Amino acid sequence: MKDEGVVLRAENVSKRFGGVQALDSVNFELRRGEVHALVGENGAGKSTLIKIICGVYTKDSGRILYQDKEVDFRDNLQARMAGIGIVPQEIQLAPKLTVAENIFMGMYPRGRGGLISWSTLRQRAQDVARTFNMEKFINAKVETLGTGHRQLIEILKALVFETRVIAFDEPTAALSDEETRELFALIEKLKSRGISLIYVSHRLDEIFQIANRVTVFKDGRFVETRNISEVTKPQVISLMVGRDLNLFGGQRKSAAPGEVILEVQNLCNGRSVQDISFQLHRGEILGFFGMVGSGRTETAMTIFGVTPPESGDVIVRGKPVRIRSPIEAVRLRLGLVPENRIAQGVIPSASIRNNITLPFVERLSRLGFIRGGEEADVVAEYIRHLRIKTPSSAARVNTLSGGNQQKVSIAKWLASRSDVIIFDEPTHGVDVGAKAEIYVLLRTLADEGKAILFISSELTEILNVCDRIFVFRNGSIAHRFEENRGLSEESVIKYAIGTVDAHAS
Amino acid sequence: METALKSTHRVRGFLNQARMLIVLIVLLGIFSALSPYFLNLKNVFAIGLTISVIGIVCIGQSLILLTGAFDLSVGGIAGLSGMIVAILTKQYGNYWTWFFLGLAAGTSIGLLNGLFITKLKINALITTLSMMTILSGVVFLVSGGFAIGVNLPSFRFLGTTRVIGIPLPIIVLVLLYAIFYVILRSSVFGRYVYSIGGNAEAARLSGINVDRMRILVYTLSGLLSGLGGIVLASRLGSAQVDAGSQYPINSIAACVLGGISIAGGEGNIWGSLIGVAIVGVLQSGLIMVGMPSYYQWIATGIVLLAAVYIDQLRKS
Repeated sequence: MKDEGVVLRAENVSKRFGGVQALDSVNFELRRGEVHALVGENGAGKSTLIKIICGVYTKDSGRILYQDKEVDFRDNLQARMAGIGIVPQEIQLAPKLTVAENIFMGMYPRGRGGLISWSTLRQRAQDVARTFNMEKFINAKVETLGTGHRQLIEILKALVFETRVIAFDEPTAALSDEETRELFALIEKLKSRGISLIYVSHRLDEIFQIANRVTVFKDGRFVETRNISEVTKPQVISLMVGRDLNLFGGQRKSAAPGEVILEVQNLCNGRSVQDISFQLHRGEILGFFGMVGSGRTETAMTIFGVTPPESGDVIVRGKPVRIRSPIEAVRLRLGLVPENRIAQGVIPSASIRNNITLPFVERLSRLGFIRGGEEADVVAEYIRHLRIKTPSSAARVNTLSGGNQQKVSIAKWLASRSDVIIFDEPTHGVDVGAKAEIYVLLRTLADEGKAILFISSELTEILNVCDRIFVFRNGSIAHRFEENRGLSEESVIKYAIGTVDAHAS
Repeated sequence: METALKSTHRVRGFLNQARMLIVLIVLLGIFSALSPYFLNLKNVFAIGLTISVIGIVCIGQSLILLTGAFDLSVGGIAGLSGMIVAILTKQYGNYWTWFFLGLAAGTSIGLLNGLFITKLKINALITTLSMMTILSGVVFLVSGGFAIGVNLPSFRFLGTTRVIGIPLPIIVLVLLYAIFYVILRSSVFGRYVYSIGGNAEAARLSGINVDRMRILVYTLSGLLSGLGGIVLASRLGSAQVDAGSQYPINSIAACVLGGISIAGGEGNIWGSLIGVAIVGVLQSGLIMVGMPSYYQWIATGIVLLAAVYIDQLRKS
């Protein structure tokens, strides 16, 4: 029963941040060589627990047993030296330094006279990297590598010491599907070497793919640990949210979509947007699926005037238009819910009210002054309509949860009566409850006659939500699924990664 | 619940300003204890007059800080506008024509700042710092390095007139603050200023013409700095070659002290007025108690560092 041996155990661990009880006497157990998924909604305490285990935070009470001994790491380096590594959510590497330099950050081998011994450094980095065929990158600067490789470097950092436990915090959040598959292959390798993995993720599909067991946290409390083979996805979701959830956006109400509202012909913009043509109808949700960098976001940005096109035509409501900046796009009643909510989607320091009316506040004004009553009415209507959880429209957006911030980012386009709305990864970093709400909202909007362009690298949600699906690869549309009925994930993904020729079918 | 939260927001903003008001009162108390003449009406008006010039400049600086940028050229613009009006009036009389020309000069330089920053994409600090240096040089060039005194009643009208005993510049100052308070609070322009300072990229993606707004705030800052410089020359009866050399630091210190965040998007203009008063009282107080004038600079520098540090503490 050696495989069943417990390598790490957390008993009654509690942690408080100011007025928030982040962890309330939770238990967690990790066996040798298993992948143990830790799931829960935002704020459930998953990240807090793994940060305590890895010495980033200190616990208020409770015990952590590592290899049958109680441990209390003061900092992350102590934990690493003891064999517990963490791959953080935000990759923390020095972009101007090489891979080898990053791997050994903070513990460069010293040679004569206390100077750094570069040859020893490279040699040891080679040894660590060999296991994962990363030797050829050892001397490359980190800034020249993609997100996927950067993640590998974080893993290599964790493997410098004789590592028994690695905690992953949302490792695939910034990865394309292809990179995700590479990561999973790597995780299998780590498992086979007897390393135990804690895997924190919002993405249940992944968990069902790679985890052996799953532990659910809710509101800082332990809910349950189950073998993955003995639970279903809906069961895990209902454990997480405490109720049943439907992750389907729902079918289109009318069989036929409405008139064409946006038409794009031969749109070109550098290497990432090559000769894109399509029509978007009222009442439909058109999905753009593809890897990061495949051209889907770039196409949307080009249409919206963020990066104006080199050539090609855009026709909105039957009229040819030239959109050279978002100013013109907004005037044509196009809306964009951008990928990075905090950096692009909302003004965190401003109130919900100011955020919602920003695109059309001129329409609410007379002689340059805003009519306060009218503005308050509009804002109240959309706070209600989108069920934004807030005590007041005057609350700052940075006091809201991720899902509610995203609703603010969406509300401004609804309130400004945009009828073509581009959603770029709208469910990134929002919890599963808010996700389900966003899917239903997208369908409601389409049924109200709006045209929705839905960009995502999560295939499951593309399949759950869209009426039509275009797959992007290398800056062009590799395949058009004109209807979404009975499609399997494989049949769609093969076009995104190029295992079939784009022109063959 | 809605109104409760709204009022806590207001209360917090008010408390912050109340705190600064207390600082102001404490300063007044200290200096009046040290110097019996400090709080007599004559001296209060003298301080008010000093404040009125930098106070006008601070309105422009506040607008720019709220968009998340800086204007280091305010002093150069003030100096040049005052000098242009003085030289031309001395030569040709006809003050009011040159008054408007002086305002136009300040406005144009502000516009130029805005164009360099948005269209040529030169860093705002560098643009306005360079402009400050260029303008200081130009002032020396056109004046020959000497103060230009003008002995015409029209030239001295703005700076020396009193209305029911109150100096006109103080009245102008209060009026301008009231006007800009309303504009920032309730106009579309004000909303855009705060939005750009809060997150320029999100504002751009919401269809706001960010460049145009930036040009507009720099142009306004130029206009207000020009006005400040002209009022100063009128008050002194002459245009000094180094007028306004301390305005960049004084105006930024005052605004930040008053609660405008150097990151942009937060604060309001009443705070700036209190900040201006604190800086003004501190500076004239130091002179009244017999400290040499360079102590003002030391004090102002320390005040700015402290104010920015407090701003950071408030954020975290």
